[in-house]
Amino acid sequence: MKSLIVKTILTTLTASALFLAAPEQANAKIIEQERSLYQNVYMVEEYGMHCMRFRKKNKNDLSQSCVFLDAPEIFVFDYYKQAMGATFFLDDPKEILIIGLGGGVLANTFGEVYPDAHITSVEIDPVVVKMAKKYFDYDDSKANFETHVRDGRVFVKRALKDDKRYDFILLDAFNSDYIPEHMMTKEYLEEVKALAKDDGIIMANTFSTSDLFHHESATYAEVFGPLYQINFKNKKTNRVIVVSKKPLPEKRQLLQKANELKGELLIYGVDTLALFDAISDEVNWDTEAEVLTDQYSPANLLK
Amino acid sequence: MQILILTCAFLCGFLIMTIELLGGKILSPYFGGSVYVWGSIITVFMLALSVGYLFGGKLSLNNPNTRKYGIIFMLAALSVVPLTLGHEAVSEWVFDVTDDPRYGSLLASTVLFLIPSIILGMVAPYSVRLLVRTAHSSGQTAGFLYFVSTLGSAGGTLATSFYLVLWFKIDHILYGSALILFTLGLIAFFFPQPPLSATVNSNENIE
Repeated sequence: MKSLIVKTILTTLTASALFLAAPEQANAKIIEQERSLYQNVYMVEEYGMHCMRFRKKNKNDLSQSCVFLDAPEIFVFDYYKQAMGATFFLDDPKEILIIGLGGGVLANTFGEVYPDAHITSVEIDPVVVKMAKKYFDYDDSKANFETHVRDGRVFVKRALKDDKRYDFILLDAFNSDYIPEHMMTKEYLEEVKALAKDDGIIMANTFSTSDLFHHESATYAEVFGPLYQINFKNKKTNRVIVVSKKPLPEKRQLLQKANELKGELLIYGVDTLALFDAISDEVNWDTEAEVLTDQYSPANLLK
Repeated sequence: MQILILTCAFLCGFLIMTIELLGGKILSPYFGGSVYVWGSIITVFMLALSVGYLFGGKLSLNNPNTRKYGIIFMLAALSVVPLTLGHEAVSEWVFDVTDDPRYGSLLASTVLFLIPSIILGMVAPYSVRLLVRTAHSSGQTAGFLYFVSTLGSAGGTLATSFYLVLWFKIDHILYGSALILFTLGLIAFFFPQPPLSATVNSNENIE
């Protein structure tokens, strides 16, 4: 256990140091690339990590997924850790839906944390699924995993009509820019809300800096009412939004879960108490910002 | 005369691309935003325009005048209204039939865009007919007309994708397009002008 902690701390420190340093191309080596219908998918080896990218240049850390080669269980990105905050809200989920598989890091991790759960992942790009299997240990031949190669919004609409319902829905669909426009709108979130069970939890990975931040937050608030954001202090990268059909629990009620999961999540380099501190219900966006709809979602222009 | 026809042709080219670009936004909630969906939309528009060119050319044989030209614009405007009112219902209906990104989006774009873009396609050959003075200069006239209307298309593509979607809702842009088309139609209808060509006896229908 002790060596694990030391390893965790060391790896985390190394990772932080690397991300603080300007990302130079010098150490990056493209080990595989493939053009898909949607983008160029690059697998890059750098700083002891495998990363999947949709652009060749790594400006402002545009990697979609990364794992450490010598410690694949430890999270590279803060957003992975923030995403584990969802476990504080969940009570043994049976049906999990992940929109936007990427490398499959979160699918794998939720699969480990909830071994009884059935995890359905939706990914539009078959090349991304291929890379996930090859480099990120994503294995959907397991009985409780399934992968659908299709547009996330189309999947959600179809699943609604087929009367599927989920305990936990994770929204993580990204292209090389940001979240696709048709997956940021009020109508989409309403469909996702309807697809959640009555006590279902919905979590979304979004950026915390962009003009879009206010519009996006206003859209979530419009559909779900109060929301929690998980964002490590002074980290201006990703924030994770947690919402629910039912009113969300008060923050202090989450502390018990944070304590219970401390040991389990340590394996991934997650400090659950720091994560607990990073949860906020503060309204830090412009509540007057226009809500994004199918009629009005100039998302990429606002960014 | 020339100014009227050229303005009409420019705006027609502009609005064709405005509607085509909005097509992507209309269909993406149902069929995604992939290259398949764009392929469907562009196919339907190209097909419809080709048919429209045929009809427009045919129509221009029989006593061409700006009144009829105006009617084409008014019909185009009217055909955009059901598109605006019904695109959600149509997409929903097609989605129930199939959510295949290829054939679903092809079916939906056919139902939604075929008729408006056939009518809009009739404008270009009819404009040529109204502008042509002599057989000798007909190629130059047609070339200039296509220059103007395709320039309009470039403008419509840029304006819609860069600015209009940032300023307005999709349906408002569509209603705006219908309004512009209808206004052009009214102008052409109520201020009729004789064709420039001397080869046609055009005074019959002109007051």
